[in-house]
Amino acid sequence: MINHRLLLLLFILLSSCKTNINKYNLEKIQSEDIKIAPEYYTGKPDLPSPALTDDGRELVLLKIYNNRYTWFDATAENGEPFDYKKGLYGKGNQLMADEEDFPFLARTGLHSEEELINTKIITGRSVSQITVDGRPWGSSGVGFMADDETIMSVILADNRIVKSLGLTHPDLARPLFHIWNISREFENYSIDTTTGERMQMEAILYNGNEIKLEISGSRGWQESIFNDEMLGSGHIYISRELNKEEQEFLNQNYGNLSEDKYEELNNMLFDIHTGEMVFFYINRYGFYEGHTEYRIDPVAVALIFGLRSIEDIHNAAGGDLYKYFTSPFTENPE
Amino acid sequence: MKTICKYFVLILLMILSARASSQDHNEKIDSLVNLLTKAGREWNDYSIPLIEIGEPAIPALVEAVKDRSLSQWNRRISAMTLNSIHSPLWVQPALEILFDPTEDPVLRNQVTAGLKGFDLAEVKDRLWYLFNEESNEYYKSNLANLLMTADTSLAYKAFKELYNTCDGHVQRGALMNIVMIRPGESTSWFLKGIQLDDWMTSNLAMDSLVTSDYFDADDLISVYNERTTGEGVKWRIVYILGNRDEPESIPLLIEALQDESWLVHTEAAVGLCNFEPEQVVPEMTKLKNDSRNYVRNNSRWVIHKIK
Repeated sequence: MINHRLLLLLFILLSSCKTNINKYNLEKIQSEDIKIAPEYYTGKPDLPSPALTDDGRELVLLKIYNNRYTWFDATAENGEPFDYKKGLYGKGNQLMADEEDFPFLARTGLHSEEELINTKIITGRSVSQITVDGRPWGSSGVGFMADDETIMSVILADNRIVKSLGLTHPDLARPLFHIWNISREFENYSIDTTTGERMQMEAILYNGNEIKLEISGSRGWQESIFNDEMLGSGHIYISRELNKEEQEFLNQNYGNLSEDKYEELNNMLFDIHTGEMVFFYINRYGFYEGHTEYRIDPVAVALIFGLRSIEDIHNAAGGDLYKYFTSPFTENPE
Repeated sequence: MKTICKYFVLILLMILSARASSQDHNEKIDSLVNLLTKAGREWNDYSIPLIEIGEPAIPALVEAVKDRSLSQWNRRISAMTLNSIHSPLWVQPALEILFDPTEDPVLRNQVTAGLKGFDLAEVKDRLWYLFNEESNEYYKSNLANLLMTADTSLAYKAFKELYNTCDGHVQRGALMNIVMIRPGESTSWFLKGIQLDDWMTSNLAMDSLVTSDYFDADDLISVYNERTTGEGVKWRIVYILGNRDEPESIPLLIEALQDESWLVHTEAAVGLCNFEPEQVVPEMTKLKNDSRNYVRNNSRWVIHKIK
């Protein structure tokens, strides 16, 4: 009896070792024979995207012009300094969590609510001061949170929704850093070595979805509301079309909404407009911005990047996505 | 005799050489100014060497600025180059442009940068007149700055008007200058400043009160206790008192810890941690079992942090 149980346990352990899924939930692919930019495939290769190579690089498949596809090394990692003011354009500390203020977050990827109750200072600034600076017409006109939100109410609410999705903050930051790294580096690898032409990126393939990306700059930069080195300068637009199943689900569950609200919900689910600072904020502080036009909603990230299905996010949002998206976060941890 | 001749020839050669060098120098200036008057985005390629040359380049640059046949852009970059050289030789031509109502308004505003720091007492009335005639807040702010070296009482009036009618950078700059002109009034101005809606100006006022030598906690406590004082102003007062070493403000901070406003009671908790434990812990201990959740949590947090 005992031998059978041991054999069963051994079998389970061995099976789990064979899986291609690693701690980042990325499928592994063999490094040989893959065509990394500027090389390309003609026609879509039957390979998962994103994917992890043997040597730990995170690759994402890009759809480029003329039905061509290419792999791009989009690894989210800590790299050379990133500081607009100093003219430094490295990757920056993409994986860094604020361990000093949030040790639990740094260890597990999620906040502990007890830790949040006892958080009065972040990066040496009082959370009240961060809130005053972060509300509209503080350090920025649009603000980092709505007038009736606080830094802590937003962090608390987003931590809860991320947890209910069965994800962590690094899980959600990773795809965002993938597209950020692609957008910044693609130009350097995008010359067709055969024709000398510049390759145009049409879409980013991510967990079976085709994601569109558009980036534009702005004059000057936005200072961070935390006492960190972050600065924001760009406008980043991430979107994708909904698929047939998603369309059916929305019709079934949200068909009673007015036309305007239905379209609004569609936009909130499948369109993100943000700035690059928020990518770093997510890993460091678990902060996605409050209800402002630059908010990266974790539910939208999970859906757009195929981390969760529309039914999953509908359930995580208490069965009412419209209400979830439009209600400000006003409960403070205390 | 031979020696005298030798010296004569040597001196002659030196003079000729200097003239030739000077001629080269002038040609260089003319060439650069000529390029500047036609330049587009690359204008710094010519402006920077002219700035390095300095005063010898001024006459040619002034001629370019005054030349109305040139485009406004090229006149402006010539003015900007002159501003950067920042010589007294530019003052008179700049004033002529500034007071000429037929001139390009942008150019008139631009030359103010080149006049900063120079004694303009002789034109104080004209500057004051111009300040009152103009409506553009940034232009007015520049004129008010010029009044600082023309007549400080007029400058004070000008900045006071800007403080009362503008917001953002202009209001903030006005406050800084008012306090510079009349440091004895700084506390009252900063006290007014923290009660403004403008984030930039109220932040300046708040930070200034934290470090100010002219400080009376009673002034702040009075404003805090006024019935009409809103959450934002209360928060700023708590922030100031929490960051200054004024033990007489502890009672107010303890009261603020019990305020319903999250901003106020959270800031009070942080501020109380800046005092000595014996000044704070006994009062915090009394609040540990308060009926209000946030009071209990914050008092316990302060005790834990301060010990």
